Amino acid sequence: MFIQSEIILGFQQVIEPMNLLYCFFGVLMGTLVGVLPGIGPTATISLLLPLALIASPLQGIVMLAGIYYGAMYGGSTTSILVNIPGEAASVVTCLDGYAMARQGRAGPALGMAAIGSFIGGTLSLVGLMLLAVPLSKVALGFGPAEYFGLLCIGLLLVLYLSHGSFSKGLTIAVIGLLLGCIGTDETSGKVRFAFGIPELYDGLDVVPMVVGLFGISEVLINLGSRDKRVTVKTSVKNLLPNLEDWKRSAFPILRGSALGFFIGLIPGGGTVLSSFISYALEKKISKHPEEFGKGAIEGVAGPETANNASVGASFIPLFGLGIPSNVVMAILLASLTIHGVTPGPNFIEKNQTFFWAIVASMYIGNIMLLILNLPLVGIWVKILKIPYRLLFPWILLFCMVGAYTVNSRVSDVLTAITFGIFGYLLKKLDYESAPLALGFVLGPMFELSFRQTMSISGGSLGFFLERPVALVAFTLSAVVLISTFFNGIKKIREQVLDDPNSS
Amino acid sequence: MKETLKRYRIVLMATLIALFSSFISAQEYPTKPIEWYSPYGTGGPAALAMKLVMDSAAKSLGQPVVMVNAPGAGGTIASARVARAKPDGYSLVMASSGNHGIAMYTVKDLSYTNADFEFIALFGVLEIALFVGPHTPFKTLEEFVAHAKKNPHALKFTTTGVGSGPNFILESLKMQAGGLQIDPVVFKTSPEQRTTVLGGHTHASVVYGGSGGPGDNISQAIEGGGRMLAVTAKKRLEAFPQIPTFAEKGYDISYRGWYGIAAPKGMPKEVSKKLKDAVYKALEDPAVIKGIKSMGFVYEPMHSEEFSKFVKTAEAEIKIIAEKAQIPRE
Repeated sequence: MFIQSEIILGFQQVIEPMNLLYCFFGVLMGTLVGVLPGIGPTATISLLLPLALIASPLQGIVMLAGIYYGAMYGGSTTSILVNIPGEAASVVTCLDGYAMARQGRAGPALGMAAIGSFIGGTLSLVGLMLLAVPLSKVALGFGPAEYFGLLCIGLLLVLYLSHGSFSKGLTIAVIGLLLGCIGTDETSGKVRFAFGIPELYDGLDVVPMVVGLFGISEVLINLGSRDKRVTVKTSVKNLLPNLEDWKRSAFPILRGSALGFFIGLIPGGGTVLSSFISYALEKKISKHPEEFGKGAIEGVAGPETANNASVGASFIPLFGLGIPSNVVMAILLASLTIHGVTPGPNFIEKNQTFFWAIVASMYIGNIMLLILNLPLVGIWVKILKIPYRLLFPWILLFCMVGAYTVNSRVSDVLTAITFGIFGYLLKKLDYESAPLALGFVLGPMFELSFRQTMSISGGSLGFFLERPVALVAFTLSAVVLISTFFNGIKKIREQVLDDPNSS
Repeated sequence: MKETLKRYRIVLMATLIALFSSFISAQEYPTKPIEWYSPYGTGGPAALAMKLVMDSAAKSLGQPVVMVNAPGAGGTIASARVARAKPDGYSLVMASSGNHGIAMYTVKDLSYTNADFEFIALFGVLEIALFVGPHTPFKTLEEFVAHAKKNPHALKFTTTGVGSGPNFILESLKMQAGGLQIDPVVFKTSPEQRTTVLGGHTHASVVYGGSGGPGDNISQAIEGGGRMLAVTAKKRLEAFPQIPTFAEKGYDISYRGWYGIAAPKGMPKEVSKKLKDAVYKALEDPAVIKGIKSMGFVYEPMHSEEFSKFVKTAEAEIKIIAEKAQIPRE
């Protein structure tokens, strides 16, 4: 397959006014949806599906895809400005992005998020172009044992999300794990911890939880504090990242692209896991890890790049195998089907022009998003200048409405409020909330893949040793765990040796 | 002062008019958007097929129709909500073999029964085929069963949960073949359920489909290397004549996936008639038919009376199988 000629053909197909219009509409809607907390791409795509069905197959898919990755761009905006994650994938962006905003550096944070997202999105498209066919076969071989290995690493990274006391972070993570157990256990069909409340039969939903835990609690904290909010500098020079920022972000962006791409390949791996792992990776290999959580730009650049890269990669299981990685992909798959175009094992060979046209449209979409989002930085930053007493009711309103729209349930609003209060208490007691979100999301997946592996192996733990990928993952986890342990001991030794009172 | 009084009067008039207009318009159904609850998420083929039907019906009803995402508990949360809703024609639910069939005998303390509903129409049916992965040596159902008999607990079968359709089929097969020991492995979603078999992680599962259209999962599984051993339909499928039926092989497993629309019982006669007419018309819309078929559904629409009888029969059949196979209630 001569790629150059294919991609040029693809671009020729896409650069038609109507197609470009659908692409633009998609990315615009996606950005808006990403910015609004709670209302995720799923709700939008369902609403806009009729439009996609009327249009030609290419136009429909181009629009729906645009909504999806557009949302990944937009999600960082509220995370940085007001500490509300637009969706679960943006949670880590809150950690350093919001800290930067409080220091008056919202502009560079937003700018770097947009640029990182663009680079991640574009690079993952290159990967999609070159590796779609071989990689889809690999995705098929990824079973529960491999998943479990990956999740081991993921859970260990919880340790790295906490920059305060280690035991406090661990406590919160365990609370998150326990909360993740609420609901129906798939393997046995039994309902756990629901106390007879039907709304809990499927567990708590992550979106209302993080909206409350991060967004509402932040409002409560701000209302109670007497700190003056730093006015954001609005001179153009300070709206964009400076040279120092670029230097620090270059490698995180590259690493984030690669990480996001590979994690996005795995069905269900997705945007959340890639942003979490990127954050933890950057923190681990940074020369100044203490800065993370206080405004380290790597903590924004890496994760934002990763989550956009994972979007491009998630099209591989979709086109190559017909497996949607998440609900958004499922809707995309269905709309393709209605048009008579079926993803599946031979999709790319059978529909070459269509495939390349979609890829071309995603390149163009990413460019459109960059052009859209960079100038918007100035506008968003102006919003921060609104006196907080006028701003916070709107923030609360968006949080609650957003929480409701996920499942059209009032109980989700209650969840958001409860976690808002809980998050407030946590902050007051000097605990962190991020490990809770990670424990909550990863815990159930960890348990499920372990039990699936055990079902398959008939209860034998030795099964893991037969799976090379899982084995590699375990080795990595062990390395991480051991090195942390030794670092900890080294620190204690240094403290003891420095202390003049010890013998 | 006079200005303010005048303003207050206008506001008062506007409020009174607004209040009274809601009384006036309450007569002609429908006067506001109609909501239907989707029990299985917003992206799956069933949700989208029903959306096609309802959006088409919206045209004759003259009011928008909105899909509300109400997933959970095997689809029973959506049905529970609608069972409790006012029977005014503004709340509907997707009634399927899952939440109005299997759930009746596998879910503990279910808050509704089929008697609480008025069944409007059936829009699609899915046949269920048993298949094995490309890494397995089985070419016929007999080989599969024989292996299971000789090697208890060796074969792994993917299901989507204890109360799910796939598990139902597995239990029926095990029981009718004389007590096989095949282990279920649970995966959350149907795509995962298929790909674990194709990827060689488990040996067998079921796949839903039947129309042979582009979205038909049976076609996709075959393309992925899966081998279809039997199908639950009563006769061989037109689209897949090479797949033998369970009946031919001597098994009585005729459970199929069916998908329709239901409303709470007790709607006024005019409302019910208007709703049904709109839905029946939608079911004859060629664009809707094409869409439903392309998702893989077998197009065998049923109107209200026929559908209600069908549900009763289906429920009775499920009851027999559930009791014989001793599927527990959770």
